[in-house]
Amino acid sequence: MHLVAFSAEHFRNLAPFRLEPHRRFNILEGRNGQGKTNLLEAVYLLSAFRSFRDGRNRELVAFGQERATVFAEIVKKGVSRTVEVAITPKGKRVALDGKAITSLPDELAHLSVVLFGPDDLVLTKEGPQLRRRFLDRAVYAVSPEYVNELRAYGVALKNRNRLLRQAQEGRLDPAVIAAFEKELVAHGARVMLRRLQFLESYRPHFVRVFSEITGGELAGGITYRGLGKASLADATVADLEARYRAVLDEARQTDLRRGFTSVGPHTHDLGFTIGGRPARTYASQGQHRAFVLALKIAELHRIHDAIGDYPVFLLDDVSSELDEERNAQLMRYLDSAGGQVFITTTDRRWIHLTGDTAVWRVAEGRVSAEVG
Amino acid sequence: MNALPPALDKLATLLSRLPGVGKRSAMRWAFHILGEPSTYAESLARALGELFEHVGFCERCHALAEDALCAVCQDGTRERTVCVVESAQDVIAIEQTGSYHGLYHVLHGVLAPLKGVGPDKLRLDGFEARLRDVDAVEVILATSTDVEGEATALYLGQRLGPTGVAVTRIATGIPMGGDLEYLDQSTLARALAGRRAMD
Ligand SMILES: Nc1ncnc2c1ncn2[C@@H]1O[C@H](COP(=O)(O)OP(=O)(O)OP(=O)(O)O)[C@@H](O)[C@H]1O
Ligand SMILES: [Mg+2]
Ligand SMILES: [Zn+2]
Repeated sequence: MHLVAFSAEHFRNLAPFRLEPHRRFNILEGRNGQGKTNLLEAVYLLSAFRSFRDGRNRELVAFGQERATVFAEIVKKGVSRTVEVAITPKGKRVALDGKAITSLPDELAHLSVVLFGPDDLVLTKEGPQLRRRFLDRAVYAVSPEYVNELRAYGVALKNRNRLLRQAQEGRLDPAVIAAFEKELVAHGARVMLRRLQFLESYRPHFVRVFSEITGGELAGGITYRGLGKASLADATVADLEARYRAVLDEARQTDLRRGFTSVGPHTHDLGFTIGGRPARTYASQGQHRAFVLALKIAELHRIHDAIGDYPVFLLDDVSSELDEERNAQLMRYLDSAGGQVFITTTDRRWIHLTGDTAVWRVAEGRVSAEVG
Repeated sequence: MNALPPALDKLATLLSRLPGVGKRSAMRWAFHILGEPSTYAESLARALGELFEHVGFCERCHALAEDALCAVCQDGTRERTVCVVESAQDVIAIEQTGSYHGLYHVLHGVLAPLKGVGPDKLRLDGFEARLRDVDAVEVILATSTDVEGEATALYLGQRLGPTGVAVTRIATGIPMGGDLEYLDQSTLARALAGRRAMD
């Protein structure tokens, strides 16, 4: 799967452009603050219909403009499709093959994208939020319909939280809370099931890649952490509902006091281990980097299993953050695998690829092909 | 310079408030109306005026009605089931399937704590009494299948427990977040036919 044409208008600081990306490597080179990450963000938007950065859609529109559009022609297994996303004052508009769509497609994603950026480099070190986001995006990439389950869970959660705060003001309607809790548990269980099923299929890839990267010294491990200590492996949706229901009942008094929901998949985490010990506290710098590199490469393998094709891989300025050895491993992997890659860098000397490469210069929001 | 006559501008602005109508299509419509014989604009204006004069809501079921009671509530041959829906448009959508012969009850909304909508904001006053009055044998909960619609159905299922009336929920073949009014008739008929008892 790759982009054969890619254009945007009034997107962030980028001057209107239309390019024909190389089907293998595209290096986006430019100094800081010129628009390199914005370009990756535009590609990402075409896949997820939202940004990878926090913030509101509105911020994607160039200062002083009303509406931003991003467009691409994608070739997937020999079939060409177009996708267009417009951010307008009235909201987001998405068109697939020129036809407006109002709900997300259930079929496998029209465009699979994996992002490897600065946030990923601290996945093993920072708090659970980044790991949850990593997991949710990875699940979405292989099961786009997951986004509906996640959204429904989020709606149930926000509604319950509002009811908890209303209860604090003395407006407690137990029947209404009970109704939204049933929804919370039903959707929460489905979210957990998706995550657990994803991990089962993803873990073998991760374990293998981590071992390759580290020369097999120590084993890397990933566990799902949520709903107490007991393992959730092989849990059915009914099991998960029952378990979630039990912890929710237990937490209700605390939740009523605090005004928010303290249990459920929005609080869950991934446990990363090296040689059986928590990576966060035991891993060396080099091991941390090996871990995140393996997480990302394994994600590409897992998506390849799902769709029989490589996703578009977006690398945002990671070479400068990896040590020389990890960087060399990343480059070797990129060369050996297939698929279209966009890499941003301030200095292309970091990028040692032998495959066919196009270089795009990014300066003050202008993108130009480098000839030669 | 704004060459647009204020009257035309005003019409376009009012039209653009309709759902799914952007500024540009509102302007196109306004010009179109201007291009038609003036009798068209006159009858359009009259239809709009009559809307509020003649169309109101049924005092029993809160569906659209031209009199105190809607056509369904006036029809003595309807079956003694009561189908609970979110909006008056849902009644029309279900009637068009031709496969339902019972009564309705329009909530005019769903439970939505985030929007400040609790049971007191829904048309639920005297609902239990109405079920007794019509001697209902079944209540079909046909709110939408998104989180708020489901929660509303769950809430009503609990609330109606003591009445002893059988409570059913439409089948959930409906796409997530799907509003009834957008469903094609056969999907809607199937959702109704496939209803299940609430637990
Ligand atoms: N809506 C917007 N309109 C105009 N400019 C914007 C908008 N949003 C962000 N920018 C600007 O875009 C510029 C480039 O951002 P970007 O993150 O792409 O830089 P970069 O090339 O990736 O830099 P670095 O190498 O430092 O990561 C920033 O200077 C930012 O102020
Ligand atoms: Mg950047
Ligand atoms: Zn009526």
